[in-house]
This record gives sequence, C-alpha cells and structure tokens, in this order.
Amino acid sequence: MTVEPVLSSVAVWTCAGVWANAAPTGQGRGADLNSWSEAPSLSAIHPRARRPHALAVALVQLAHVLLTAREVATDAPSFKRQEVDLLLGTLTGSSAADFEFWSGIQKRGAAFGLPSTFVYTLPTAALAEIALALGVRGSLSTLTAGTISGIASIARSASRVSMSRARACICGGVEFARASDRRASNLFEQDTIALFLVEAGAASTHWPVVRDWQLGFAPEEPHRVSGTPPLSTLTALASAAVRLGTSSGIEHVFASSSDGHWARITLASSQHVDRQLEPD
Amino acid sequence: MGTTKGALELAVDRWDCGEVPRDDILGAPGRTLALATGTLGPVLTLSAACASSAVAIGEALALIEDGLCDEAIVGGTDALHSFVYRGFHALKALSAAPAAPFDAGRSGLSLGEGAVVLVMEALEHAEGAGRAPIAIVEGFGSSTDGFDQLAPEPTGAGLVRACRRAMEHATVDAKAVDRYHAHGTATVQNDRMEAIAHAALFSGCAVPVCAVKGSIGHTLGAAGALDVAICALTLQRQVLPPVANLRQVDPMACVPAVVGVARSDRGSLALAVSAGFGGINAALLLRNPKVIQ
Repeated sequence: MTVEPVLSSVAVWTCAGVWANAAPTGQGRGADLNSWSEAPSLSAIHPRARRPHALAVALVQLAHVLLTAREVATDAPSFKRQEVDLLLGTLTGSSAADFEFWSGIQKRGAAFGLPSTFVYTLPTAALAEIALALGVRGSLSTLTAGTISGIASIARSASRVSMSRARACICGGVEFARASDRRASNLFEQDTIALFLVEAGAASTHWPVVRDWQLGFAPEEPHRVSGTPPLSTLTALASAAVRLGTSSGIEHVFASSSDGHWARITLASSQHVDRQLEPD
Repeated sequence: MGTTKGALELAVDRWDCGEVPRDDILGAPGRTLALATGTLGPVLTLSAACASSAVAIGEALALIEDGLCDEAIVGGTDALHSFVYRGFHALKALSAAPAAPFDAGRSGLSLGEGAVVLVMEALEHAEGAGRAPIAIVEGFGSSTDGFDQLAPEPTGAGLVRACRRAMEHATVDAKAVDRYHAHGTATVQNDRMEAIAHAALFSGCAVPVCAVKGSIGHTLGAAGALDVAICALTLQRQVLPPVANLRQVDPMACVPAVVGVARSDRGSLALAVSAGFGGINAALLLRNPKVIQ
C-alpha cells in the first residue's frame, strides 16, 4: 500500500536572501549566504550547542524555520519531530570543515589538529546538529549524486514516505564551501541551503503532492554535457511548490549533471489531485 | 556507495598546491564504479558516518523493494588518509594496542582501511538466473540518537530503535534472532552502550555476539558493508567467528561474545548493527536461505 507524499514546507537560503514557504526571488551576488538579520538565535533553539561549525549553525537555523512553518499549519495532520528522517543532498559535503582542519594541521603541526573542527569533517555532522537541536530522531544521512544531489534527495525521500518507510523527511540540498577568506571547493559557485519537508499527507490539504520521481545515470547522453545549475533547480522546485499551493496544476522539474546523473520530479496541486479523484 | 570521505586525497592534493578542488570528492568512488560496470540506474553515494555503507545497503534494499532496480551494486570504501588518522589522534580515540572489542583491558579503537562491494538483487531475479543467494536481507532500520556528536546515547535507546525498525520491516521478533554482529569499536562508550542495547533487545537472552574490528580495524564508511559481508558468509558457513583480542569480557560491557575460538552455529537469522558519530544507528537483518525454518 503506497502513501501519497506531499511537500508541506519549504525554506531556502541563498546569497540573495531567505524564504520560508515563499518563492525565492532575485539572483543575488557573491558566493556566500546572504546575511540574515532576523535569523533565530542559536542559543534559543539549541541551548546545548557548543560552538558548532558555521554550516551547522546555518542549517539548524533554517531547519528550525522549516519545521516551525509546518507546525503552525492548524488544518494539517499531527506531526511528531521524532518521526522525521533527514536526507540532504550535497556535493561539497564537509569541504569547508575539511579545509579548516587541514589548514590547522599545516599551521600547528601534524599532531595538533583541532578535535572540535575534526568533528565537522563528516558530511553528516551538521545534520546531526539538527537532530540534537530540534528533536529529529529518524534516519540521518547525506546523499551525493553530482550536481543533482539535492533533487535526488527529494526523490528518495518521496519514495521513503510513499512506501511508509518514513512518516516525514527533511530533504533538499546543502552546499557550503566557505572557509574564512578562501573557498574549500569550486564545485558550487554559490553557497545554498534549500530544505523541503516531504511527508505522508492528505490530498485535501493545500500542499502539493509529489506525484512522480525518477532517477538515473546516463554518462554517454550528449544533452547532459552542460548539466543543470543545481541552485536554479532547487529554487525552481521551491517556486513550483509555492505556486501549486495556491493554484491548480502540475509541474515538472528536471535536473541533470555533466557527469551523467539525472532526476525528474513531478508536483501536482492538491486541487488537481482532488479533481482527478472525483467520479465521472 | 557508502563513504565518509570519498576520495579525500583529491582535495588534499589540490589544497597542497594552493588550488581549490573541482572534483566530486564524495561521489568519486561510486561514480568510478558505475562507469566501470556500465550501470544506468541511480548512482547514489550515502554518507552516514560509520554507518555509511550499512545505510547504503538499506537504500539499495529500498530501490529493489520499490521495483526501481532488479540488481544493485552496493558497498563502502574509506581510505586511511593521514587527515583521518590525525583527526582520530586529536580526539584521543586511538589505541596503542590492537583494538579489543568488549575486552576489560581495551584502550580504544584501531583504524583500518578497506573497501567492500556486494551485489544485491531481488530473490526472484536471482532464482530466475539460477543464482543461489549467500544471504537474504530481510530488513533494515535506522535512527538518530540526537544526544551528542561523538558519544553514543549511553542507554542504547537509539540503537535499539534502529534494530526494532529492522525487525518490524522484516516482521520478525527479537526472539527469532540467532546472532548479533556488533559494531564493536572497542571504545568504552560504544561497547557499554551496545551491551545495554543487547540486553534490552533480547531481554537478557544470551544471543551470541561477534565483532570483527579486532581483526581488521575500524574501516569507517566501509565498516557497515564489511560487517554485513562477513556476517553473511559466516552465517552461510554456520560458524560464529571469535572476537579477536578479546580475552576477558568487560563486566561493564557484559555481552555473550564469542571468545577464543570459532564455534559452529546452526542459527539462521543475524542482526548486524552500525553506530556512527552524530548518533547515527543502522541495523540489517540477514537470513541464511539454506536453513529451513
């Protein structure tokens, strides 16, 4: 028995700004995340935090906004954070922390690596900070599939929810390559965090349904040579989700990477689903 | 593919030259394997600390159960790069002596290096092709402690939750489990947590405990799949391998471990577990297909 997965909350942070359940706009300039003056304070949402890495701080802040936006939905089914999985796509992984740890060793000597930095050289460390701060207790991992990592994580999360392997899943993309005044990776031009909450939902809510998802690998196909810019794909999906929350229709988002990964996600508005379910 | 650092040496080489990497560091091993084998299905790299390749097996199981793949090549890899060694040195987690899981005199973990590749396929697909399975992956479960970045939740509640999810997936009861293949890092915190989790899962029953990190060290992202491979083969051969370097079980981590020599065992169902940094837990249930229930 399959369950219809819905997109119940979206939060995006790019160099152009921060959006929660709103369509991202503007291109922004520079590689770093935009300064967020109204960001929730870490001490308020994560009292046990001990100077986490900058990526972890940003991720916890945005995940807090994502879950809070979901929890204010009064007409929605009950929601338990401890049942939520975390599956975030990333290409750069922990490269910023890796570079910091490596730089520290170069400066201080091989035997004097900083343990507090080494902890964050796992791609999952920042996600674990979300679990610590926000009470998420489901499965936790990152997923890498070239520049479509974020979209691929949404596809796999939809599959988990659909097959009842998870009640809900925080998914999307996180790329962070900033390391003080240097960048640790040139895989992404701009730092990005785009979080989506996929959960088992009723089609009667206004949330868009994840109707279909496909993933594959086709390194020989010529049309995939250039690939799709990952930030544009994630913001396109966020915009589609917001649009379908207020209007009827169906939207497809396709992403491909220059090394052969591809993914396609189809969203449908709940009104569209309702109409299809009505008897002739 | 499960990995914690992927092809980290590619990044370090660039940094050493004052350059910025443009390589897909995490995904490089999986993508290389995909190109070598000509696969056209999804090529996914999972990272979940020391449970990475166990989680990758769980994802492969999901792809097969979803009908997206008939077969999946799944595995784990992590190189013992000096970067990693220096990090574990900084954490003061390394033992000067070889790792001795669950031993009263243990002093920490030994890092290892390894890679493992398994072929998973739907049972009907294997039988249709005339292939006899080594083991049947009956269930997978995963959870997060949400307790600490480095230390496991001391009551083992998170690990128990992952194991129970695997058993629910397989619709089997803990009483049916014949062996427990431990994560067994030989750190005090891990071993004691696993002993408590074992007691809670099996209600104090003496389900035998195996662990391989005393023999091969902790292979980090490869460890989960390596544990599954060894567990599957020993299950098939109906043998319980001893825990290397274990002489006297720590009374504070008292588990019914296999000590000294291997012994025969006709049990059919094994629970293989992983517990990584960040409180990430994973459990896989394996069955010997040749043992009649």
